[in-house]
Amino acid sequence: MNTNPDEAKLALWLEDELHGDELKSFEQWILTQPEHIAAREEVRHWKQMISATLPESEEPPYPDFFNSRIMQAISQPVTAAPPISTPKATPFWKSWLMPASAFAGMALAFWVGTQTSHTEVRQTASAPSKTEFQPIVYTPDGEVNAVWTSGADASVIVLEGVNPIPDATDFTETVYMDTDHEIDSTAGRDSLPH
Amino acid sequence: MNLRSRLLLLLACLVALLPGKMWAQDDPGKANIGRISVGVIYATDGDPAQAGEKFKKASDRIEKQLRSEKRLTFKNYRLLGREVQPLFRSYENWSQPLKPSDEVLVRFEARTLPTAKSTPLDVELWLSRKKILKTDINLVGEKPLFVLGPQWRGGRLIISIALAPKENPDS
Repeated sequence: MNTNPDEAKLALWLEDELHGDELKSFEQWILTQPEHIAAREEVRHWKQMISATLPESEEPPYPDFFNSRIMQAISQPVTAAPPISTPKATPFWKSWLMPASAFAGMALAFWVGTQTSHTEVRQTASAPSKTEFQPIVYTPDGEVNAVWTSGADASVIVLEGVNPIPDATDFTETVYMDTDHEIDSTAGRDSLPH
Repeated sequence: MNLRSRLLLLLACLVALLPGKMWAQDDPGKANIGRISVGVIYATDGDPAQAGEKFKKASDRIEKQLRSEKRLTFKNYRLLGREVQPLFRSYENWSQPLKPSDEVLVRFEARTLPTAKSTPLDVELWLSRKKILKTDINLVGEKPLFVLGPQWRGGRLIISIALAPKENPDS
């Protein structure tokens, strides 16, 4: 069961704006609600206090100036609105020249793009030094210096400052590993330095 | 050994080998995406026999590549060792070209998938079990990377890192 009053009627009742049969029927319910009666008394109190403080009407400041501005605004003729420019009839040759020129421009740009990319490939092939990959060379040992250069037949890193291998070190036992070895290095890393 | 024992032994071998094989096939990181040849060359202006009598001259192609670079120009070149290793898709790999000696080690791994033009690699050079050099390179065709390394017996060791030729990887 919906016991909530009509919000609009409640607002009118609080403002003493509800009259006649609506007031009678509404008060049959509202007078049983003490909180609403208290709210209306509060509203009445505030209205009384405001009416006692504020005058009922107040003249605007500088009434002469106010009125003169209003009369001036009324007397001024209404300026004509700027004319709306109506599009002129487009000549027939313009109707197809614009799309055609746009299409020609796009085609030209596409052709220039393809020619440019071909040129870059040729430059790469003929002048590798300009586009060649530049590696990062890092030597953890501060006493070792590494210099990278690239030639036509090979890339070279020259290490300087590396400790020489003792002449007593013998590599004659080296086993040539001339065949592939499918070694899983991660499985054999324990034997290698880290 | 009777027939039953042989069958049981065969079955045991299959069971032992099957998971590893299956793992290798299922692991995409172990896919072989290239082959890298790592070699060590003894370069000297003196007597090349200082390295040892057994070592042969480097191939004409390698000598030509070496002599084209001023800093790598020596009178004699001897190939001390070489190893061709697979390049795995995601695993690192170690090359030990002077095996059994670990005086020279090269660690490499793919930086990206190789293309028809180049093979990008991260490379480390270890000498005497010590990391000496770290670099990233793009190996292209038959153009190797030469690293002019330490002195030894009156000459220098040159470490070469290159794509292994498809037809004759030992050349």
